[in-house]
Amino acid sequence: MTARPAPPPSAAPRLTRAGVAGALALLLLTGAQVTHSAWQDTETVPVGQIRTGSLGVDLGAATTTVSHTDLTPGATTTASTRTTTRTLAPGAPASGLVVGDVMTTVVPVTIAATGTNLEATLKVDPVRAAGTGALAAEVNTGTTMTLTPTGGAPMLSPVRGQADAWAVTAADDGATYALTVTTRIRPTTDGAARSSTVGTGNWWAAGLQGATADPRALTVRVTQN
Amino acid sequence: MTRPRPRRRLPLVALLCVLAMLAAFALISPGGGTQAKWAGSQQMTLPAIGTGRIDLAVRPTAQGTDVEAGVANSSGFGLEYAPTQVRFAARSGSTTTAEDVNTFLNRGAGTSFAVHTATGCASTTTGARWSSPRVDNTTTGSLTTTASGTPAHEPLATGAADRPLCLGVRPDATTRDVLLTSAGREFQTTTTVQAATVAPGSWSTTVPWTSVHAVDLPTATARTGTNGASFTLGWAWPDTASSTDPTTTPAVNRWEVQMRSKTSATTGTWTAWSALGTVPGNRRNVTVTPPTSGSPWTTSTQFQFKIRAYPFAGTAKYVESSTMWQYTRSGTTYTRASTFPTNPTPGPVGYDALSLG
Repeated sequence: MTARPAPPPSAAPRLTRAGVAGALALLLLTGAQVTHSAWQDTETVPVGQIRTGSLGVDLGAATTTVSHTDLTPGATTTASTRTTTRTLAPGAPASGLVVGDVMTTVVPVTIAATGTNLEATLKVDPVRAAGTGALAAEVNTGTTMTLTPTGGAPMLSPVRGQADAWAVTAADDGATYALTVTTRIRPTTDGAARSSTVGTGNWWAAGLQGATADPRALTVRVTQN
Repeated sequence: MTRPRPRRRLPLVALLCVLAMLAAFALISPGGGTQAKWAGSQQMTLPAIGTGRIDLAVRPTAQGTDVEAGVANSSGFGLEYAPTQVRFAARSGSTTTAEDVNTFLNRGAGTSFAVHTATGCASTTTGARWSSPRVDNTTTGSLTTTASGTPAHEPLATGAADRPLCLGVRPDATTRDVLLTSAGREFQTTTTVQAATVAPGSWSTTVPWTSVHAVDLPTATARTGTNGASFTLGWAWPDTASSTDPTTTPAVNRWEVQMRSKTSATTGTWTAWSALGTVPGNRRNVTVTPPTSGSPWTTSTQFQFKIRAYPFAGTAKYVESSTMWQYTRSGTTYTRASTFPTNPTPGPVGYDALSLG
């Protein structure tokens, strides 16, 4: 009996083995927390209990105030000053501002965030002001924002590396925050106390007088991560 | 003979099935979060911003011998203000010369300026709120000096109107001495009023306050008159007690005697008695000798005389005596009436309402 020569090795079995090995490796690498056992259970869920999550923000009515330092009534010296705050009518411009004045807009922001393991970012984006050059620039650089919990809402953590951004989870659903947008027109060109000689040094002098900055749109956006 | 189909396709299909199962498994396995990108946003509008501007007005309320102004703040916010500089020069368009300015400023120890916040320059000779140092070496016909006070600024509430400012021009000389050398001179003061926002604001501006400061030009007073074919008219100026003028640069450029005849029916017109020639400004009397022939000297028996002071060359500006001499002729002898009739129109003439008018 003569032995039959061994058939030449075929490429197909090798490819199959390699594929199966790769698939097993991929399977092992996907999610260590995944069990592949065949346990199973069955529950009957009433129709209507299946809900999708939600994500959104709701802005309440904004209130804008302007604080201004001026002479006290009947002042006999220039050192007799006081700071007062006036509230603007809704939609009214903040006119007649003076360097050193501070305009503050407070708007309630209510978060809607439902969904399992939901993670999102709340971001506030003011449009850069347009208008008379120097004042527009001053308004843009002098605008800051804070987000303060109200009514026992949980504190939001700022998102590292992003300005005016906070982390939101489903735990914040229904929470309301006071978004405070502060626009500060510096009292002097460098923000420091004015120099002793009137009109020189860091004095604005005629700068920023009779200037305008257009209304600015401010977008509050919440985006799932 | 047909070749059998390769059997390699079977393992390949099996491999694809395995991969499809794995992909489906990976997708349905709980990875810790949903992979959707939900988002929501809302927009609001921040109000437009407009800045004000300093609106300070300094309006002259009195010019001439007193220099007063009312300060008003229409800025919409409080200010602090102060006069910081005063410029003194001849009034633009006037006949006052640069030399008149130098003479005025350099009397005695020089001239200073004082700014008060009370109405009425005459009543505010002391207690100036701001002042400048005396300067007595002006040679250029103008002076610019700084004013200062402590504290530097006064408060000016928004809406304040007509807050008085009074600029006192203070030469180092008595009023009489000033009149003797500078009567009828018109100067121009330009006071720089600085305004700024109250701290911490740092807006500032300056507003010029230009006014006419004129030295009074008093009327002369007929005082004495002798009798005879020649007679001497004596007068006082700048005050009723003055009969002499020791100054070498008198304020009066020259005097002129005016005469008119008068009858019971007619009154002649005033004419200058040119025969007298130029009467120097520091004189206070003149002797006249009426002609003994010709009209009206031989046709009228009543004559009136008055004296006119010209502070400058030319005849545009002058002031006359407030009283006159009245004489009665008898032959060639003239006898003065015991009283000095009043001159109803002594002037001054040639000055506008901003100065002496």
